[in-house]
Amino acid sequence: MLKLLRLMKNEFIKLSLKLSTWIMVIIILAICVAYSVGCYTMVKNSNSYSSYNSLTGYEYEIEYLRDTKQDGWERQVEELQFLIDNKVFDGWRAMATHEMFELKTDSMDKATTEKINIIKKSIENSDWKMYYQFKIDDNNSIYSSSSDREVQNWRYKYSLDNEIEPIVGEWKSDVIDELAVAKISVQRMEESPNTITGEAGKQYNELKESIKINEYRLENDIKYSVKDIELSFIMGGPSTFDVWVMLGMGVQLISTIGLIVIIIAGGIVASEFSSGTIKFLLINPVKRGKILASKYAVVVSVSFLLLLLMYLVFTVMGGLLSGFENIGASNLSVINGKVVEIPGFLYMAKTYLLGSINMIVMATLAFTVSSLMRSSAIAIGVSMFAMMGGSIIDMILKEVLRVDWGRYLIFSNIDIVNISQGNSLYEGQTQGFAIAVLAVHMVIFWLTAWDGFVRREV
Amino acid sequence: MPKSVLKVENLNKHFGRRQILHDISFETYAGEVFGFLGPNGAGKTTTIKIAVGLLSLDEGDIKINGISIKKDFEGAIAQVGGIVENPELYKYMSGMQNLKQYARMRTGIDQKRIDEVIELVGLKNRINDRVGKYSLGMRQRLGVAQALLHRPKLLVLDEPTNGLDPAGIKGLRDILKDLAHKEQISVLVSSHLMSEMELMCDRVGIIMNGKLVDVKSVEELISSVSGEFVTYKLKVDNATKAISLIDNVNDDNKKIIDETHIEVLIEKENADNVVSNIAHKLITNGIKLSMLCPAENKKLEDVFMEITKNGGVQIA
Repeated sequence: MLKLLRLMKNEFIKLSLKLSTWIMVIIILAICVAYSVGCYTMVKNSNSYSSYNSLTGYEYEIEYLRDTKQDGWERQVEELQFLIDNKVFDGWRAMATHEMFELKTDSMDKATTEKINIIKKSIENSDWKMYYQFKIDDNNSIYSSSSDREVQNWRYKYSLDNEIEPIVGEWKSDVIDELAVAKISVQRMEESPNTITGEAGKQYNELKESIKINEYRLENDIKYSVKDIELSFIMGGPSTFDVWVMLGMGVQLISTIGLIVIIIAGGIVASEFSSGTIKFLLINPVKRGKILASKYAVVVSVSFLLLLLMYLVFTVMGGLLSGFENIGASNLSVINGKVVEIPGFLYMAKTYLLGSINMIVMATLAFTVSSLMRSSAIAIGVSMFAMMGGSIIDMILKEVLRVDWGRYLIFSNIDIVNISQGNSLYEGQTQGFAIAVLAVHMVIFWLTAWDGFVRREV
Repeated sequence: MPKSVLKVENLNKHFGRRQILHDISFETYAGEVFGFLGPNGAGKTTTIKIAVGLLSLDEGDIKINGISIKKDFEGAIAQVGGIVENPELYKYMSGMQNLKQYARMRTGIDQKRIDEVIELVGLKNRINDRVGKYSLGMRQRLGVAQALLHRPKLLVLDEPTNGLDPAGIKGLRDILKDLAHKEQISVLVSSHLMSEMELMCDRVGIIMNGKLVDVKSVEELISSVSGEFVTYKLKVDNATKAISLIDNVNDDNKKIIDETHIEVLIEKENADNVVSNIAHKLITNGIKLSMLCPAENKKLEDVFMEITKNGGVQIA
């Protein structure tokens, strides 16, 4: 063991004395910093886009309606004018305004007129309590069953009881909104239990979990919870920017480290052959297996050191760009029906480790080819191809050749983050399945590298 | 009886279907420089690579200080230091950093020992320079330093004089002789430069086509070929007259080279008497004798050519 550590120290010294290593580290740092600034700008820009529903937006819409004169345009103009006059842009007042104009018809009965008056008054006076009380009364007259009444009125009752004014962007009011919507959806689904299967079943479970988590937040007064970010450029990015959003978006950049780790793994054995130093390495009283193991251990450690470096850069950059106030936040997950708080950095570390599996597998492939072929160029080439072109091969097998055994290939299982989010190419390809397939591949890589290196005639 | 350090026993090695080594067996002892001589492709480097653990062996065994390389690889190799082919060390490191790398892979080497070895090979002034800037001679010295770090019982050098200038060769030769004769290390040196071997080695093993042809001390080897006779050269004013006057030598053993030169083969045993008789006879008969001397001894080079000729060598 001590010998292995000394061998690893040797390998670290070799890497650290090579200029190329430091150039790669600097490139990673630069990419991380640039990516942080890029993410920050993107989130800020996408938020300014949502302020379209502002005063000028309303005026633009009125103009458009007047030009086109669609059916019922006068009513819509009237509604927009009301929004402008009362400076209503979002939140409950926007909802109430919409409701009010829905009620307005040419032949209104007395009760409807009464309702409209109440709503109008509450909007004009910004009296949310009045509006919420009205909603409770109104729901009680619409729904006959007590369970329906309870679900529909929950939002209003909870806000009134706890004196939580509904303001967009205030976390409590946002959580209440989310909860209310989820509760209503769950109740709808439960009305026809036989439809809760497959995709709908998954959605149902997710809703139940989100209800549990949000109730826990309200009970325990937890303003912020750390979440994964599913970055989709079609759906738009996250709405706010902070340290955790930065870290969540940063997961996408792990493959950049992967490229550098492949270069290191591809060279660490082959370079000894190409420079002739392998002879001086192997005439030492150390079994070849140990030398190989020390080199592999260094590749893996360097991978994780770079990952840690990246994690730290994103934390610091996220903090510098948006402040560090949420740094102590936790993630809330439902485990065995109970809400569990996991410190944010631990939770994110888990996400990063999951994201690094891809990189480690590819580095192992490069390492194996490197110790078999004595050529770092071939090793790096093969691994890069596997990393970039693998998904194409995968697609061809699945969609063109239509073979099912593609699921057992390394390419179909390498994107473990996507698979764990449920986006797998093959049906029934779970995270566990993918990890098992990758583990089998890793063992084959190790044995091949070991056999090739130990028996190699130098 | 000197102590046996390297013992090669019935070594066989194949590359694919081609047999490279046939039943090689020999021993080297503490305190001697053993030369491993043979033309290119004879199997010198293959044997050496097996002895330092770079190649596996098919049959037979190698014991270093009594430890079998098959049974206890790490234990056996811990007794060996070596340079195989060129001294290719890490060019981007300094000489010192290189030595520290190797020190970490072996046991019981402290900074004092490293300094000692640097002093021994005479690299003290340049040890902190990058190896990339070293001359071949300096790299060879650093290679030797690397090989000596862990106080090996056996030092193996493959073609160590390749590419060195005469001064470098002399320097290396002195270091190796000192190590063997003073420190009682067994030194194994391979080469195809016979003249070099003659100056450096105590004993020589000749290998050809993967077979060990002969193992002898350098003197033994030379005399074994030249036999019981010594050639003497004479310079006279009249060769024809002079040769007829030499009557104490068989006619077969004397010949005229040209008008003034004669060569005579004289039995070693009685050489002094025969030579003085010849001189006396020629001078008293009025021949002007201006030179009478033994021809130069046969060199290892000639011995080697002769042995390989007799063995019907065909260099592949």
